[in-house]
Amino acid sequence: MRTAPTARLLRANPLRVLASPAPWAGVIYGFSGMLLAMPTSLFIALFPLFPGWSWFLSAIERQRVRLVGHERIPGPPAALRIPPWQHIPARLESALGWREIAGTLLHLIFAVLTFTLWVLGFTLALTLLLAPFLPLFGSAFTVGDWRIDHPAATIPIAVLGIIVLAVFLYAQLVLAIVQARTARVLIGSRVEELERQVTTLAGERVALVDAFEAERRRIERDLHDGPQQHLASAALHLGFLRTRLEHEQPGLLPRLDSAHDEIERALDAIRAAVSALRPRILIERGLPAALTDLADRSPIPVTVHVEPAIRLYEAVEASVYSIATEFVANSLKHSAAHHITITLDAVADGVRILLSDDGNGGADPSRGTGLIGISHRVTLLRGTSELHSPVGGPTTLSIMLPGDIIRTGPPE
Amino acid sequence: MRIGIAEDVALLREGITALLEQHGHTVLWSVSDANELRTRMHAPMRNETPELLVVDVRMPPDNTDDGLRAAVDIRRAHPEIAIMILSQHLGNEYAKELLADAPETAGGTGYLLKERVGRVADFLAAIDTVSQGGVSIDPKVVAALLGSGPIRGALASLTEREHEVLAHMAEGHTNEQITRILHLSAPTVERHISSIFTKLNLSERPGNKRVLAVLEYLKN
Repeated sequence: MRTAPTARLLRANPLRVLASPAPWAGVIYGFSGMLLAMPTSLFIALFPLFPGWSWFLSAIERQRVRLVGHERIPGPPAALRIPPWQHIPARLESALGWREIAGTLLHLIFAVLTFTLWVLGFTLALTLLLAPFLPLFGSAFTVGDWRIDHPAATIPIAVLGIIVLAVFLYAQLVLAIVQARTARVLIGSRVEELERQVTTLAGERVALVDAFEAERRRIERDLHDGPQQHLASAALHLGFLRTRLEHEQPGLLPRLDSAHDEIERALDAIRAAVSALRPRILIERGLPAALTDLADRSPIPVTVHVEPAIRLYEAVEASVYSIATEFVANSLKHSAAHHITITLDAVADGVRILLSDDGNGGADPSRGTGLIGISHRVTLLRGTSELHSPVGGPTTLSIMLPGDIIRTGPPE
Repeated sequence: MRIGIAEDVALLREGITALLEQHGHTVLWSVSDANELRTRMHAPMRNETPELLVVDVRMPPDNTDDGLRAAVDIRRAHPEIAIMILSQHLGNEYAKELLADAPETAGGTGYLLKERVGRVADFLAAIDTVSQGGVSIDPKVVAALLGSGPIRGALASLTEREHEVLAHMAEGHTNEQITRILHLSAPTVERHISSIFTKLNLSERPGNKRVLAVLEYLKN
């Protein structure tokens, strides 16, 4: 829960809360709230300008709630992020615009409550606290007929003043927290809140892709450094053995050769498994080389245009490579294409990938797992994809990926 | 022959050393790291310049293709030194890189899978081919290339027999070996080879035609 810090504050021992800086933050919140409420009364008179003021006050309030331990309140969605004197109607058409107005009026009510609290509590506490000092100036503390003019006798009154001050501070804090919470409900934008959650989720998914990628690399490295080297060494030992046996015990050679064949088959199997994990060329030479290699291995001509200067993050390169592989495989399987084109270039707001073939079209994501796989990968990379494949062809898949997948620093 | 070895796995390094020395070669030194290899070749001690290098693709410091990159640089600085690459992978892109300047260099070039060293006779034959300025590509790499799609360009005009001959050339086999393997007569093999050169337009070009043909083949 996002409101947890303030909720915790209210459940905690009041004495402990009073020893913390929280009450003072509450005082600042209350005091600045009162100051900000002054123009509100003015703008009620100038009501055509009121939406403008409520926009301004809400923008301040979204930041101000941080004083009492809230996170910043999410502001209006990008579409509404315009000064109200330009688009007051747009604002008045949105629910958020009206909620901001309500929030501003409520702010005024809270300011009145705060003012009352201050007048009552603060003045009382101040008067009581000043009691011990009055006799020093020849004056005396009087309540009705009761008059105290001996300094020592005023001490209990001063203690009472401290208690009243504590109560006042605590009450101000509670009021501030309640006001901040109400503000959050009224002027917080759900759309932006959701947007932020989506971004967080997408970030987590990219992290997951990265983790899988790291795992793949680890497996690949372990296979290379472990079994592959041992098997190659074993093959070498058998080779030695063979040169000896050739002369001394030729009868044993067939057995030896079978063992040797088995070792080579094991190595072949490991190689096949490793290249299925991720082609070496992608790890070592990057995406452009890997795509060229993919084109070389295709039975129909594949033209690859890749801006060689673009290096993407490793996990992204692996995804893009999988997407290209998937597209080529799909074209070969279903489209009877004669030519495939793969283009990757940097555009103003990201990276654009164009995949096309001259086949007979009719590609439908609902009928093949390949296209769904592509669209999943694109989503994971926070990109968008658009498939255009009329019956009769040609098929074009254009993918836009966000600019932050481009690797700018030195290679990892 | 004087040989330098760069291989990070101790077992293999020692095995290859022993194997080569058993068969009359001299192993001048062996290193386990691409930087060490560069240092050795940058300032070679007297009588320590090898005629042939055996280099593992993947080595420290980065454990990616450090060995291959060092080999490409060494080829530039010492084109006369023959280089035999050992790899765990079929990747043709790597072979291409080193072979790109092969026709112009005096030193031969080889690309073998690591386990090939266990096929002692094949390995030694490949070493010989490469040391004489030839090209030797691992049969499995050649097979992977063959199986990897259609034949395009000038290569498409070759007959099936000529393809077979070219594949054997890529593996570093001599005319006599091809004659034996394909059960052809020596003049037939020579006729096929000259036909390959003509079809690939290599007749007029300078450099080692055999190597050029293999390159053309790998480019496909």
